[in-house]
Amino acid sequence: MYFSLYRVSVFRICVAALGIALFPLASMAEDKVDTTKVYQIREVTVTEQYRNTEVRASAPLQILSSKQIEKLNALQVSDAVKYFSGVTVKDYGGIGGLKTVSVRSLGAAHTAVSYDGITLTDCQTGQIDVGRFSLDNVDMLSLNNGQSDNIFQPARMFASASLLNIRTLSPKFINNKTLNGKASLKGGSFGLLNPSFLLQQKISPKYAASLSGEWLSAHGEYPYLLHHSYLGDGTTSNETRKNSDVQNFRIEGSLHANFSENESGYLKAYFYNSERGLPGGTILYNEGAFTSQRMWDNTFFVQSHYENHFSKLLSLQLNAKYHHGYIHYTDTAVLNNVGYEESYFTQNEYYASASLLYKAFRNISFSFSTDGSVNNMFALFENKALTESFAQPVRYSLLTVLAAKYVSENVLATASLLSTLVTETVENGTAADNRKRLSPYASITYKPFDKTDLRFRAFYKNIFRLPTFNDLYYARIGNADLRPEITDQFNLGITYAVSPAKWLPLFSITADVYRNNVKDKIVAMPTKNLFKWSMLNLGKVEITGIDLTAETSVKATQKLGFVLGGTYTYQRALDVTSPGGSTYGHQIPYTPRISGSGRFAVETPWVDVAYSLLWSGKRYALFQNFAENRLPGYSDHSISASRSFKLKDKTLSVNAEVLNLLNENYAIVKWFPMPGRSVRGTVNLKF
Amino acid sequence: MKMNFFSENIKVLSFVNKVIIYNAFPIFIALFCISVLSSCDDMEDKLKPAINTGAAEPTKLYILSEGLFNLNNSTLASYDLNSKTLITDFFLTVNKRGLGDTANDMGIYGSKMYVVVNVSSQIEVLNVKSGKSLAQIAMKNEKGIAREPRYVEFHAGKAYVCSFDGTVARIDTSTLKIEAFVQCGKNPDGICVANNKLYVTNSGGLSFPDYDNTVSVIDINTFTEIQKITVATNPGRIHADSEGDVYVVSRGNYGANPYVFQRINSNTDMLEDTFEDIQALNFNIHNDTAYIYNYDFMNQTCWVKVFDCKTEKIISENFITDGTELSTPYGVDINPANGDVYLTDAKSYTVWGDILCFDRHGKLKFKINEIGLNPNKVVFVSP
Repeated sequence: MYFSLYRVSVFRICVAALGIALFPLASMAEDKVDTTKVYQIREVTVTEQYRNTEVRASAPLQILSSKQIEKLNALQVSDAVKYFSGVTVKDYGGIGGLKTVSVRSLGAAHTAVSYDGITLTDCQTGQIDVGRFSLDNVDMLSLNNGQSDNIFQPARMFASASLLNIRTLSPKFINNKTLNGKASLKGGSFGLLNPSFLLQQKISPKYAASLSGEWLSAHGEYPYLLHHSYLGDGTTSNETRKNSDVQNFRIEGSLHANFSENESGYLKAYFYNSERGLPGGTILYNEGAFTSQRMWDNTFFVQSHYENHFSKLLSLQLNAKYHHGYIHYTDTAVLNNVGYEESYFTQNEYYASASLLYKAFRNISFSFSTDGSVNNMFALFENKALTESFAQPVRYSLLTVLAAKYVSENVLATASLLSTLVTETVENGTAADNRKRLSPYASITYKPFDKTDLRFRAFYKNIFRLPTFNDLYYARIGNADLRPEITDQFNLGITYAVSPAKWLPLFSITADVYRNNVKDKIVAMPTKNLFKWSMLNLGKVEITGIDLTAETSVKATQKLGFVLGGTYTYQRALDVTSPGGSTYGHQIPYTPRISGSGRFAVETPWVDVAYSLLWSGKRYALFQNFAENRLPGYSDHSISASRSFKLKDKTLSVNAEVLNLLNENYAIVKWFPMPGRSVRGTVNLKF
Repeated sequence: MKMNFFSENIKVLSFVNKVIIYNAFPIFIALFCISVLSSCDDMEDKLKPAINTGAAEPTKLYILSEGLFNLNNSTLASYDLNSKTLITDFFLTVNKRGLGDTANDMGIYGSKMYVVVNVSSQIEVLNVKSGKSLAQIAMKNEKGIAREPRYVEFHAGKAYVCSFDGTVARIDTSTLKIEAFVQCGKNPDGICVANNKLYVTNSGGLSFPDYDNTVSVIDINTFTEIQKITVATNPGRIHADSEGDVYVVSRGNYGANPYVFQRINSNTDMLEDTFEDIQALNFNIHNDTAYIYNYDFMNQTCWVKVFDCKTEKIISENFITDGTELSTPYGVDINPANGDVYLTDAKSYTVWGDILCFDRHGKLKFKINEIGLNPNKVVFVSP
């Protein structure tokens, strides 16, 4: 425990330092003449406009606005992300279960997640659990395949195969309001209780503050039907998911400043604390097996952003972040000599970034970004020898990117070259080799006709992911000789949008075909018996796929409207590691050949009704596409009804949802059942 | 977390290999001279003639595959030696349910077969002929926590099951009830009978890196532990020969201590031999001949040797004489009737493995591809 106390005090000092480091810049700017009185977010939140951004992108971009998210019957970011095409969310079931995002079969470690423009990192596992992020204060979610057309971003935003952006609500005041607020209460099946609040205060014409928080609790004991067979047939029994409880608490506050028309920034602090049971997979005839594992975790970060558009030609942005992650894991029923297992993991990240944008010519702009970060990790185990032999890795990264963008009436093209320098040190054992890599990217979109919104697009990206600290150094499985896992992505697409009539304000489709190659894929292999695995660079995957999205809105009358949207994904994600091997040409695990989603919403003056659907074809839990490894396909339908009431200057809305309406008994991860039919209700007061 | 518990460190292993190479150079030269001179000796031990052990010629094989941890995909396959028909999901087909998670071991006693399912913590008792389940014996303690059974051995109407929780259970083979438990050391990982005593290896494998290094000796009549014999670190599989010698493999700590093959005299209960040069991972004994294999995780290479338990010497450095390739040996069993040696091949451990049947002279008789995920045990059924 001394260990964690020590860490806590260190990070406090760092937070203070970060605040001090960035705010002088802001205060220097304060005296400038201020003309903007209204806090505006750059993109308007109307669905149609977002859809325009999507069809104009040179690499596939999908956006869900807060308004669309409301109609998806989603609680966590992971629930909403499932509606993006090309995405596979690995969901271990229940509110507290791990949920990671793999885009176009590249694996979750290739998906970066950014929170208000700065990426989140977890060097220990290399993947972000998007189930931990609430949708309560989310303004927009977007997913970039490849990278964004916006070249004026930190270098880390260029450094992944795909990028999921979470953007929270920033303060916006209309008329003479100086305080906005929202209070909501959600409740539902399996003990769900989730109160939350959001406050936005205008402090002065230049400053505004925002504070939001929530608490969530669920016992998570949902019933499911257990088949006593790996083939999914045979005898069955009715079981209840145990040790699936979760309690979490989130609070985040931010200070936003618009120093002038050209200069703005924010400082944000985020704290998340949770305790949860880790139910594990169901074990036949030993259902109580994994009811002894629990996890506590804390995430704290403070980040700040500053940007200055010095002139029409030159802009600068600075970003900085300190991140502290803490995990405490216990298993109280282990047959070792102390009778339990206990681990504490601590991670810290220190990050700073600077970007310049220069509009060299009327059509061409260049950007240069450089990011430096230090990531470290500490561990404490119940076993002294394990603790003493822990590597305590520190990773120093320097990312630099040079990017260019060309924009004309008919063409938008971007190109970038990213350089990565990484060096690592360890206290015990061998550190991974230094790594140097150059990663190119290019994209183009072309609109052949002036009057028709039809575009052709293409992109190529070569990028890699580093082995994680667990891959490299985990006491019982690590392998410091691992090389980075490399991906190549090729994409060709067509987008089309039209607003043919007043009653049909929008119809749009996007269609993309892609080919991804993964080499040196890092896979876990048992290296002695089945309890002992190690990581090896042993895989080659070839992915060929199609992503389709379509959306239309219909205005039947002034007061009656429909929105209809859908996605479809086809992917052949084949293992091509060893020709003639017994898995050659087989679909890689947990990747459906076909999957999709659908949304349908009706807006009437009395009530809004939203229906949403997720479906997936069969998948395999292991590399061999044998019936024994198969997970059947599923569909998950949800429906909701909501209504808003105006009370003077306040708005009260009530919403009732039925999730998994058909009570389908399915699993995304084999032996991790998903909940059946459940209900949720929300009362929401906005002022 | 849990999947990592039985842990060995591959990196430490490579370090050890380097140390061996650097320090052993003079020894290599000496060995080289000796081997040149001794190569003139063209005389080799002759294989014993096949002895009729009285076992009837089997007509059917049962092959157990443990599957992968937490996937509940242990399978029991049946293979008819006459009609050559294979049913990979035999247990599921007969019983309309799966065996469960990580079936480790099985054995036939009388008309019943006992399958030890480690993570499901059950002993599945089957009718040998039909494959129908007669009973599921739950191996849980008073608090309902799994004991995690590992191996089964039989003696005088009783089945003895050692479990990771440090116990040996005595099960009556007619009532199929657990009669008693005896406490031994940490995480037993092998059991055999010799001289009216049970020998149980205490691996301590779940307490990595603090392994155990003892073999518990349990008197069968009183069903009490009478002694702990100190052996090399992390003992695993254990088998007895006809003379009352108990052979045991210690798998070391995957660091300074390598795998080693050892011999205990069950008359004195003393460790009498440590065969440093036989770095065995697993073995089995038939007719006083031990078939021993090793698998080198660094280089993904393996060997199978033949050892004479009477002379206590290796009689063949390469059991496989016809060049048959074996990638990852995972189990070895011998047909009691004719001495055929069955080796299972787990390949990459994540794909279905094969079973290879060799005659006594190491020539492949037949091979069944893709029999199950991590096949580990073969038993022989006579009509």
